[in-house]
Amino acid sequence: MAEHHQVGGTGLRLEGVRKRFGGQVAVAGVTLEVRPGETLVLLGPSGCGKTTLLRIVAGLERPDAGQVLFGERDVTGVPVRQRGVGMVFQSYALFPHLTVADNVAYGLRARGVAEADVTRRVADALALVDLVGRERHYPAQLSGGQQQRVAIARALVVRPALLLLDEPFGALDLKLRRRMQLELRGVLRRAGATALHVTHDQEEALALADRVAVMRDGRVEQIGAGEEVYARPRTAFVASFLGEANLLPVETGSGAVRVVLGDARVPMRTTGSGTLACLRPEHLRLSDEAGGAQPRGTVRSAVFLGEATVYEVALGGVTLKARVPAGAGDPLVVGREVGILLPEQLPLVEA
Amino acid sequence: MTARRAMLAATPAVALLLVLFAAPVAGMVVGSFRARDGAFPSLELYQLLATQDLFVRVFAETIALGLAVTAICLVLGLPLAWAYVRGGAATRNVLLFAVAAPLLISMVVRVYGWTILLGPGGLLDHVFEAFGVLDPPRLMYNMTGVIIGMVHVFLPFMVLTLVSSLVRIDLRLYESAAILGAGWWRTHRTVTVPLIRPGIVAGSVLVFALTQGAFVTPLVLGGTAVKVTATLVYTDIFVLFDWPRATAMATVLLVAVLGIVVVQSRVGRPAWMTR
Amino acid sequence: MDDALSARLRAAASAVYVALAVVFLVAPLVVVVYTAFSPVVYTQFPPRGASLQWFESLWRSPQLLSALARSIGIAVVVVPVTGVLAVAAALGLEAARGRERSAGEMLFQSPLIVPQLIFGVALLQLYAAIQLADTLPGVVLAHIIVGFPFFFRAVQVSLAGRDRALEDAAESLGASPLRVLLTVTLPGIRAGVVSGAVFTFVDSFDQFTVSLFVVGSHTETLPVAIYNYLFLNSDPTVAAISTVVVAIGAVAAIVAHRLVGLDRLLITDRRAAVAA
Repeated sequence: MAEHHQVGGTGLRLEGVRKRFGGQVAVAGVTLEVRPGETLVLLGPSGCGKTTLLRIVAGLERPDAGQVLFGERDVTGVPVRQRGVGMVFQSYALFPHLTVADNVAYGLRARGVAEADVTRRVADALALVDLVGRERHYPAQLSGGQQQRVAIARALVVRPALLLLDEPFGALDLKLRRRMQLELRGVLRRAGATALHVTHDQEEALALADRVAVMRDGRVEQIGAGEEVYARPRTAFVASFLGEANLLPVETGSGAVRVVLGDARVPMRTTGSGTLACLRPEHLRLSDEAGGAQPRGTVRSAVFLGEATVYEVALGGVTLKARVPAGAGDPLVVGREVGILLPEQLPLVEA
Repeated sequence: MTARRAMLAATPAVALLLVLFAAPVAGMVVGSFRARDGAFPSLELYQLLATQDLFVRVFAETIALGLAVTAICLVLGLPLAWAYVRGGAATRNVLLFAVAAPLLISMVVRVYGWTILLGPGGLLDHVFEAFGVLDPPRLMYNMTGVIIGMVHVFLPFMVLTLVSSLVRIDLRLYESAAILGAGWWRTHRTVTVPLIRPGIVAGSVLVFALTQGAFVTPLVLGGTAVKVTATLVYTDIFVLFDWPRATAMATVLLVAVLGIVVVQSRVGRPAWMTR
Repeated sequence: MDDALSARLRAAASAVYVALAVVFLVAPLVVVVYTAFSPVVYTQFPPRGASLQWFESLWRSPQLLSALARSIGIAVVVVPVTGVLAVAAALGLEAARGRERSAGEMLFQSPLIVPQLIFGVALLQLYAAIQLADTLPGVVLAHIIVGFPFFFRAVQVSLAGRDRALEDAAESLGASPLRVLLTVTLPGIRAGVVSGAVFTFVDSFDQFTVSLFVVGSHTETLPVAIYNYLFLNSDPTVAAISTVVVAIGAVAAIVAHRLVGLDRLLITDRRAAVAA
């Protein structure tokens, strides 16, 4: 059954793509590549151009400059309906007047696939997204999560060269969203699909991506595997957008790099280059014991979140965020003086 | 404020409509079941109408006329509604005013305008002459003129109803259809037509109902050659002073119109529509 | 055929069709204005000059002028009365639910469903019995009933689209229901009320069918006067007065568009669609 769902095999390449709407620049020159079978997530705040870029790949917008290539094929001028992509929208865009089966079959019928094959492939696609038994229901009779699965099935059943997803889970509530993300990951793996996925939710990005491209103001600021981008962000924006970050100024002098923490200067091994050090809240350890050479700060607030507690610690005019997992020691009381323990190495970021 | 007390605000309007609208209409309907000698209830007037060739023929012809006008309005109106929904601001504004302006100008004036255009010696006759057409078609005092006039009066209603239906179609559906590979014809056949069907039904019922009650346009543009149910009623009251027969005819007309509206409210909503 | 080329052809065909349709829709209005400035009695094309003689003739026509004044006067009375009734009815209906609400909706929209011809007959029957025929109050009441559904719908749409949180905020700040109504609700639906007023004014001014039944020689409204004039005379004085009607309609369209947008008024919102 697996080979029925093999899709992608083609990669995507964008070369110098630009797009402006009226006076606004939406995409300011993007060059990137999605390898065959890979899921690349475009992550960024609203207005960063990620959706426009996706629509350009789909053929729903024409770029002002640049090229879109599917494998070796230049599709920049090719109209939408001949591109052979699949797309999943945030609002699902299911045909309300067609049954689930007819919705999924739509693309196959448009391509003139024989009815016998249509029935078989629709059944396979619905099995892939775990919706067997709902063939004759109408979209209005399904829940949000189920509707999104129909949308995914519909996009995949035509074996598109590329699957495009535009914030597909934005309309679902949190728990359902998390579940759908995992399911989608499974579906995409099983289908071997090449996918370009747009989201502003960084958790979703990390959960789904083989590689993440963080976008800002129409440009890709950093691209790489999730762990890579998270552990070694290159700019303050990427550091703050993907996860949380304490950005600490650094001093260089006599060959060593020191992190500035209030009055203290803490020597530090660093990677990358930049003027700020990125300290993740989960890497900041707080010590309740008196004495010791570490810088000391005062606990300003403590918020219990279940699996962890987030503390705000102030020292020398700076407020740091620390995330302490549950069970890692007694809770710290507001107003208490604590020792601040930094890790051995920190990445440097550009401001 | 409780809901009950808030509802009281509607009382004056309810009272006015009941007393001066519902009651007279109901009274007229009930009164039509009274025989000329006062016996009640009686079907005398309806038996009279049923046996009267003139009424039966005119009633049937009025329905046929209504169907023709509705069909023409539908065919002409669909492309206009589509152009409006897909058009840019300029197209929309032009269409909006072209459709709305006639609605804000008295029907008498519009019909008068058509008499100038269509009448013998009228503007169109001059235009035909200028093009060398020696025997121009007669466009007034006949069914053609009446149809032109009625299409003109009712086309805005059709277009507005169709547009109301079309704007609700999610544009993303068209993007989906394009991405899935559907061409122009398939897209409209499988997406637009089914989704606009409620609007088509609503618009057609509205226009048809309006055509049955129309009488200025047939009267002025049709002259003595074209009779519709409405003109028969008018003649009965203002020329023949035969009130009883007029109320019977009016009741038949009312029942026919209400009947279609009721059928529409049952049929007009397909199963998959939740709202 | 190439996709882009066929798309361009379709766009061109659509533009041509729209242009023709617009010409068709506007033709009789343009023709009326054209005739009002004609230098001769008969229809002439191409035009050989223009003249204001028919406006002069109109000025000297007491029948048409008094009908004009009467129609305006009636409309001026009809609008505020209908407005108060419509606003009260919309507010009242909002508080209703279930069967009462649907019954109310149906009743308020019913003058739209029942052909005006039939209403005219029924009303005249009633008026004849209580001697309201050919009286100004009788005509005013008839116009109020016919205009009511328009005003009601305009207010209802405005009401449905308002931000209810504003009223909740006012109440939480201690305002009485009446104060909330006057200072928050009514200003909030101002657009609906004004556009309803514009439409009802034009509707009363243009109203013909029902008026034909309930009007008499003492209460001839302008549309009825035009209609009668058409049957007796064939000179374009009637074109002159019709031009006035066209002008008023055009102004109303522009005003309504500026205030609320003709599209929002005429293209029905789902929530306020006719119940039938």
